[in-house]
Amino acid sequence: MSETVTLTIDGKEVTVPKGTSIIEATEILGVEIPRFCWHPGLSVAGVCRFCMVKIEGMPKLQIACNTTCTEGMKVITVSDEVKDAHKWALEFHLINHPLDCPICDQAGECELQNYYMKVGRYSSQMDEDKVLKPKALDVGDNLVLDTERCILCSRCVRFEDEVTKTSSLGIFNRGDHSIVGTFPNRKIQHNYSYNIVDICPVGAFTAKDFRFKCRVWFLNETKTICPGCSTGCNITLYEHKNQRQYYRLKPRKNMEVNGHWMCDEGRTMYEHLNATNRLAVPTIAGKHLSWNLLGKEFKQKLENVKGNADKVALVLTPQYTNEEYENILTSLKTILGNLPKIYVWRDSAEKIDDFDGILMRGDRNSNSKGLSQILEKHAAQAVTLSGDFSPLASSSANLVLVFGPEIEKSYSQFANEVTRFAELSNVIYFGTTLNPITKKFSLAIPTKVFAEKNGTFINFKGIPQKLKANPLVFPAMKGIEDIFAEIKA
Amino acid sequence: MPVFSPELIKIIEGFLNRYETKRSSILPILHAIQDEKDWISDEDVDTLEKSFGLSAVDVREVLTFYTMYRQQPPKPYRFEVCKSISCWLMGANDTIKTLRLEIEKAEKEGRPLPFEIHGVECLGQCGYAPSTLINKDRHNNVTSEKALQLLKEYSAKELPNAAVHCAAALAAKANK
Repeated sequence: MSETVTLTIDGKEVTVPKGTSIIEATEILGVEIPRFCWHPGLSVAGVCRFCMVKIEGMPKLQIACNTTCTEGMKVITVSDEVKDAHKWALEFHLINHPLDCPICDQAGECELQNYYMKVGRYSSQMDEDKVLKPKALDVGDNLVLDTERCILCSRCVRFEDEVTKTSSLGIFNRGDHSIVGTFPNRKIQHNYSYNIVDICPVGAFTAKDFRFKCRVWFLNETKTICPGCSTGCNITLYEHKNQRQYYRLKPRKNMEVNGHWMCDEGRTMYEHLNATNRLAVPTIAGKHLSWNLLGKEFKQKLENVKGNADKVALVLTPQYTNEEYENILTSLKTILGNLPKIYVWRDSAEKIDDFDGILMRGDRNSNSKGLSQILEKHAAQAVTLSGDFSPLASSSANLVLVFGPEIEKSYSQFANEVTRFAELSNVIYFGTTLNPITKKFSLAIPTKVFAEKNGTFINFKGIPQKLKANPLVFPAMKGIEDIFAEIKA
Repeated sequence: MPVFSPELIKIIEGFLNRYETKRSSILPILHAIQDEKDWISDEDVDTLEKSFGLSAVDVREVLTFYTMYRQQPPKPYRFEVCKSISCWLMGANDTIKTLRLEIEKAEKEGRPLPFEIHGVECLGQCGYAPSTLINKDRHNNVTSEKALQLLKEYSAKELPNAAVHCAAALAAKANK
């Protein structure tokens, strides 16, 4: 296990475990070798012949992905010979590539395009006609396939074989007529299909929900955490640079949490962030209330029950950050004199211990663990509301504070259950999604979504992970911490 | 009508047992299917997956790689004329031309012949050029005259079993 070998890459010495390939060793050093078929999360195929490096003592260039490091090996990744090999490898990859970058969705984040700008030949010597192949094939619920753009790296085929084990893709036909495809009349239907779009180095696989929507160079990247389930996959969120509009999210590598992948369910977590779906302004008994007056009204409601903490009910959902829970609990303690009765609202149909074997967990809340830790810290007893709302109804509280879920679809009976709160009198509801029911609460306060917060989620394993805030979709909006700070001032 | 006959199922199972992995048996299984049904349809591949546990994608990868597996229903007889160098020198091209003309003529006259003509690579019978295969029968020194004679001879024969199966299956499918 602990056997290591020491080799030199471009004059820099590096010690790696035995069996490491040269490309993995260069990753450690931060040297980038151009590659198409190699992907750190998949097996080695060695088909693109692009990651050529010079190894001293070997007569010809070798591929870095399928050559194992040996003791004393001397590798050169930058030389005229290597550069020439890259140029010609690209020339061959482009023989049948349609070069339709102006209308291709991958343009801007295309590995073929990027490497061509870096190491390409720029003037092709091919004057044969290109082979025409099927285009814009519907190969799945989320995928569109253009076989002309494909460079046959076989990443998608290996992903299907190794990660999802569905094996629904293969390379058919022969020679320059080879195409990637599914079996006739079968589709790729699993919860991880968007990963194929991510690993495709060219625009052969494009995502149905991002296709023709936005150019990638108009997007800002934010590194944050997926709120879709308790796994807490690390993601990059893409927001338009000039408009306050979210377009998609992609997984970020974190071997401890999600590896390289994320599920399709999680990829929909940008939809509820956009203004059209958001609760924009506070309402008081159904009428709009300006943000300036909100603090006063809210304070009034809390002052009315001051000293009667046991007449106040606080309903929490496991989708807020640790910092917010902390803030809510300490602020209420200061204002009311003691902690109110605490209820945790959970989905009645959830199967917490479910796991699909890859990433997605049955607990569709991002911060169940964080909530229970904070409650423990405050020595608070929480009653779980799961389908049965009688504990809350029988408490005959004078004031009910509900911190509603940000992702409403993780509650299978959301529309039903939220009306149970609306039936009570004097309810203050915090929520993010536009919903006619919010007008029925005596006070409805919009809150920030996960993309607009700095905070911490604790995943199912107990790993705390930081969220990073983007600019607000509604600039006037105040977060929970702002509102409580205003009251306490 | 079942997709595979009981005899064919026995052959397929034999191949599956003979090799270490299921994937290894794809080539002979596809040959066996083609021998019985003249061609391999998507339905056949589907059945291989459902009844025998072979991956449909693996089978299709093999099937589309090799040109001698037929993915479309063929005519009952495949007249394959070698067009490699020895046969070409001995007039293979004339043979092919004559055969094509004859079949075209018959078609126009409303008596279609059950033949497909293919030019193929070396059959290893250079001493008997031009060499040909009709389905799996070899014929030597097939000049234009002999080719026409073979057409007559084969047209008069009863159709091979595989062709009968193929036609029956297609008719059954058309009725559905």
